[in-house]
Amino acid sequence: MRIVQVALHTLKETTRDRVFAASILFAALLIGGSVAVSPLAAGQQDKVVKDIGLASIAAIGVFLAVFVGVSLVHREMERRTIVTLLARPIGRTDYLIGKYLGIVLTLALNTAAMGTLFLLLVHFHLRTLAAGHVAAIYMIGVELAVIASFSVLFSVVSSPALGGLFTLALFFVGHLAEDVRTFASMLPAGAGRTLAEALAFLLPNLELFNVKGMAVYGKPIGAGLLLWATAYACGIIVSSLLVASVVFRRRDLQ
Amino acid sequence: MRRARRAETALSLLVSLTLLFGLNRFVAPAAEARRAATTLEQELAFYPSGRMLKPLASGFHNALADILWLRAIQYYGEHRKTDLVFDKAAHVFRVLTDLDPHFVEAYRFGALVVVEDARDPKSGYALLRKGILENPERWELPFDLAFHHFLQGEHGWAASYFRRAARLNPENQRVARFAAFAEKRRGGLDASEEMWREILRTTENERFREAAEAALLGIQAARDTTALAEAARKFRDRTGIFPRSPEALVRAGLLARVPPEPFGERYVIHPVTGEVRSLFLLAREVRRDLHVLQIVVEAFREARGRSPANLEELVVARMLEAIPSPWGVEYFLDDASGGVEARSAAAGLDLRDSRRGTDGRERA
Repeated sequence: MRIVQVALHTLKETTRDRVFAASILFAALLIGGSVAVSPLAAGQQDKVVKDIGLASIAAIGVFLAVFVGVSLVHREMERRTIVTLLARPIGRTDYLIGKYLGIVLTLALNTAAMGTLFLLLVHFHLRTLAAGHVAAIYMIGVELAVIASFSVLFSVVSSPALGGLFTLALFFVGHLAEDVRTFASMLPAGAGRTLAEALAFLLPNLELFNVKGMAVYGKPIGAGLLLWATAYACGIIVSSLLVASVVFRRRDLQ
Repeated sequence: MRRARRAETALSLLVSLTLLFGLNRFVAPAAEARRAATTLEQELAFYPSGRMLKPLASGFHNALADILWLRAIQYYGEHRKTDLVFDKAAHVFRVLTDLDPHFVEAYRFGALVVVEDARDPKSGYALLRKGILENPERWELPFDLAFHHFLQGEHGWAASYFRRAARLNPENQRVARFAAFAEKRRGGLDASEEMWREILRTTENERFREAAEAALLGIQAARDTTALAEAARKFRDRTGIFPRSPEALVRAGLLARVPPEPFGERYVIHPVTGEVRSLFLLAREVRRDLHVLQIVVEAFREARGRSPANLEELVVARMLEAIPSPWGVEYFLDDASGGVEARSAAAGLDLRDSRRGTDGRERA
């Protein structure tokens, strides 16, 4: 119950933030802009509008997950409101999970708003709406939930600026995970390769959530893939929040 | 108090926007000069490898490929209207399809530009073969590869890829028939026409459609020139000289009427060889040759630090295989301007008088 209260409070706080409204406006401009440039695409209007539309939803979502996520906990520590909050019967772990869920709700709201705009455009303008488009938006949401868990983790262990940088770096490396594993397997056999391969397997594989291309080309996105990706995301989120909560519990807030 | 604050905000916004406007006006000439110096070709030439770019795009590679697609279309449009030189096309479409390996239209259109316009069949074939590997279920890619092999006279390869396309799309009877054409090494203009019509039917790309429509007009022109050349030979047998114009063939009773040139131009007959050409297609070929020769001359100047004495020196220096001479047109290096010029042995024919651009559209 307390977790839910913190989450709802966080949602209220973030949606009041101008960054939230600005991000939706910016995404609307990007999605609308893709329609404006599509006549230049020589018969590929459909693809261009969908690619740019989905990329805009993902990019704005990542921006929000990073910049809102890393500053929330830190802001309360700076304002000292966290001390008052934690003086109430609420555990630090509950507080952190509540904060995280609040951010996820914000991201879900944002993705739903941008996704609805995108789906309306695909349905009424392109007339090629398919279940794959909804699946792609869902997967963007799942990836954003993972990124939000990184930003909460880094907000606890470092400053907002560094936390943002670390989260973006992990987002970037997460999309390179498969290539990193390939490079590691190409090293000469020995302890170095074993270590590199083990380290490579510690990286989250964010490409697993990228089904934007499949949705645009109308390739089937099975329920199995969605379930696997969701379960995988839950695992990453739990491990990130576990570390975050351990660090946060030991942190001196006075 | 609140009104004062609002006025202060509005004023600061106004000052800020005015300052921004003024600054942009101030830097506009420099920005324009910089933009002019960095041409689209330079930008395209420096695109890094798509294989390297894709992992760095962090899941946004499809959107990146779309941006590159828009630039590629712009590049094609610009060169189609001007010099018909497409030397960056193979690189651009390679990068584009590395970023988005399922972008079938990019393979199809890219191969058309690279094989037909850039005259680099090997790169075009490689692009389509990559497309087939990435999209083995799509029949259009082996069809296009077979089609390009067919147009290049490589009937064995054409038959093999037509058969592959027919296996992937057994409902399309035309594809199986094309395989038979290629196997028997027959078909000529009729088969080419049917294949271009198939391309026209299966593409959504407007530029691709325009190219296919132009190719169909070219086939019509090829049929007309064959008939006109035959009549011109009969005219020479009768009079000892070739006719000065196609109208002379009608007056001599060798033709019922002069066929209309499909691009809206006219047909010309060479007074010495009797070769018949569409003035539009000839002017387009000459324009392209002039641009290519000019590029080779510039490369010679850069390498040797001086201008070549004449165009033959480019052949001696192995920078050029041979100097082209379509319809007996002679190319030469103009000492005064330093540029490559063309002259026609046929009196009274100005190759620059074509009323249409290289894309077949009426010039403004």
